Amino acid sequence: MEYSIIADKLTKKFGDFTADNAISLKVKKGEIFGILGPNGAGKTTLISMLTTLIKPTSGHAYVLGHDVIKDALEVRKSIGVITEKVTMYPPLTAEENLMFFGRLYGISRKELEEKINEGLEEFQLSKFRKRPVGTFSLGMKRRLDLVRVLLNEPKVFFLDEPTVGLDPITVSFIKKKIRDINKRGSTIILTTHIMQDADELSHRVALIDHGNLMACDTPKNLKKKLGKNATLENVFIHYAGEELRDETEKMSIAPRRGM
Amino acid sequence: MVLKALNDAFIVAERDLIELYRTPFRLVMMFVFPVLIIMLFGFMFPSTSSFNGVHIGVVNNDSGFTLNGQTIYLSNSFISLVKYNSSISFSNYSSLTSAESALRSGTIDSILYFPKNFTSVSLSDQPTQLKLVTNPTSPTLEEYIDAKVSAASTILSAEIVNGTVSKLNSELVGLPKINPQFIISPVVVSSLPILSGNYFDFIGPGLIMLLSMMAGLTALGSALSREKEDGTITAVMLSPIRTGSFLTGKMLSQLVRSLIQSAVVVILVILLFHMSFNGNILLTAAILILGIFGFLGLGLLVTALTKDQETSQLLLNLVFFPMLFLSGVLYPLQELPAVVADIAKFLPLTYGVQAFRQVVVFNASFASVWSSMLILFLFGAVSLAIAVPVFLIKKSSGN
Ligand SMILES: Nc1ncnc2c1ncn2[C@@H]1O[C@H](COP(=O)(O)OP(=O)(O)OP(=O)(O)O)[C@@H](O)[C@H]1O
Ligand SMILES: [Mg+2]
Repeated sequence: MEYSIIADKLTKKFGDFTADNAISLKVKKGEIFGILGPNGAGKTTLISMLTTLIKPTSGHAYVLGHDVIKDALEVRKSIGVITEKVTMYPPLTAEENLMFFGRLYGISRKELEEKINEGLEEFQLSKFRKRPVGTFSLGMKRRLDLVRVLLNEPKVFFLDEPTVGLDPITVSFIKKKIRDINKRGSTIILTTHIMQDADELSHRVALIDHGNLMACDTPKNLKKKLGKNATLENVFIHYAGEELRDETEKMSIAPRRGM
Repeated sequence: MVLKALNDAFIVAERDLIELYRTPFRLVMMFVFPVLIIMLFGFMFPSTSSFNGVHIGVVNNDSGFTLNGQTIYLSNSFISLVKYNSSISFSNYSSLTSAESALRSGTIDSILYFPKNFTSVSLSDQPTQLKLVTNPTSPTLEEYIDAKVSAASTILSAEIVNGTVSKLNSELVGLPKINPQFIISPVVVSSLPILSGNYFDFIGPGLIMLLSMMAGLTALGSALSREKEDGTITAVMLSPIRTGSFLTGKMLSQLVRSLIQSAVVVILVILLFHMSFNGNILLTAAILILGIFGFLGLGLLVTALTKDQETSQLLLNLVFFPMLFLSGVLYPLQELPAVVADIAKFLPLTYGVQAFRQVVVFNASFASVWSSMLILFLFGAVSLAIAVPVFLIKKSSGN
């Protein structure tokens, strides 16, 4: 199987509102795949469907060949997800949290203890292992989230804005970890609003606006279409929002800051 | 497969209990709150022997009866009899009107009015009369005073009859003697309490059962909304665990939690308020568990159908208050108007309270409470059968 993820006309409606509109895409194995788009574009909704959290209104999706609707449990076994919100029980210690989530994957206690030790070491959290997560800083929580997600050695990672609100040191630490994880052979689906990160990390990116897939290609190709000095930010602005697209077409693509 | 599902439920339940242990404030409140409630209700609806500061106004026009130069006043004997064995205090008023205005203003709780001929008539062959003016707006107090005054009048009557009869007996030569008791009260009722108990034996079990119901109603709601707030429910749902296992785990931890709570509260109520506990422990625990189980579904349904916790709290109050007042928690169903008593028959808590009280206080056997237990079980099973699918649909549609 060549693809980790196949989405086929994936659609999600909340009442009359269409959050994702017939999105079809394929993510290759071992790829870092960026999903970009303005706030409310439908990125988190798309990830929620791919990770079995919510049911699509129509369409299909497969993760490592497993149907996200019919084989939800199988899909969950092979994925790791970092959501926008940090997801640990505040009153429990770091260790207790990891132990709890690890056991849900059916990992034996013994093996888990080893993995927890390794993970905490790798993400420099060992000395906080006995502290309630409620007392952690955001950066520590994010790192702990990564330790948690790595426990079941997932083949596919979904990272929804993993660096939001973090200091530059933590951001570069996490970016390095993302590359490491990818080098170990895992596929990574990443959303971010930081174009530079997306550009640096992603092998390919998809651009979504108003629930529609506007473009899907390597950052290099996307930029090339817009002109010589175009940045991914120009690409973003080009596809998101009608008005700006007209403008950018007229003004032969000078790098634009802001927005 | 089933094993994994069960194991997952245990993991979830275990985690919940660790969390409870890690939040001492919640742990302490778990015991303090119910005991406080029981104290509050216990003192709000006290048993009749515990009235304090009752005040009776006396209008005493009794002119007494003079015999051999000595004047006796039966009114004074009467007042002493009322005073006996109670903490009622008395003050004198010169006229009925002034006493009545004192009663209206709340200075006194009742008026005893002795007419001029109170003593003289009672020593003749006519029944003598006194008036008791009461305040019907305070029925329990009215009842208490009435009981004390009646007791005094019974004793005084007996004294008078005794005197009359012994005089009579001495004159009836050759005939069978008359027993004065026969004249006072030819029919004697002796009331025998089936066991020594007090009002806490009534409200104690009722309120403990009510607590179980509350635990059942709010269990999933508060747990799920906290998980939603912390985002932890997302992380759990992203791991290979069935929603059913997750919910089962939540219910299990709530059961354990509630059982510990009830056990501690039962012990505290026995120690503090001398509630009787005569029941079989296993049967008691079984009813408590059913009391919680019976309301899990309703709680989940409310949670699933409401957007935020505030709304669901409001809805739950709508369930809670009728149950509190209509299910025989605070006073017997017999005290309710017929229509309301009929409604009570449709409230599952009624059966829980009934069964629990019978077992705890009267050591009833399974055979005599099984039907109540079955009703609770069925109510719980049916409401869960409705609530779980509703919850699953709501959840997977992204709400
Ligand atoms: N449960 C829901 N009910 C109703 N509308 C929803 C729900 N979840 C998301 N939406 C709507 O769907 C749209 C897409 O939301 P989504 O969270 O997928 O956007 P996003 O691309 O992740 O945005 P951001 O960059 O801000 O994270 C938004 O307009 C949002 O308001
Ligand atoms: Mg999002």
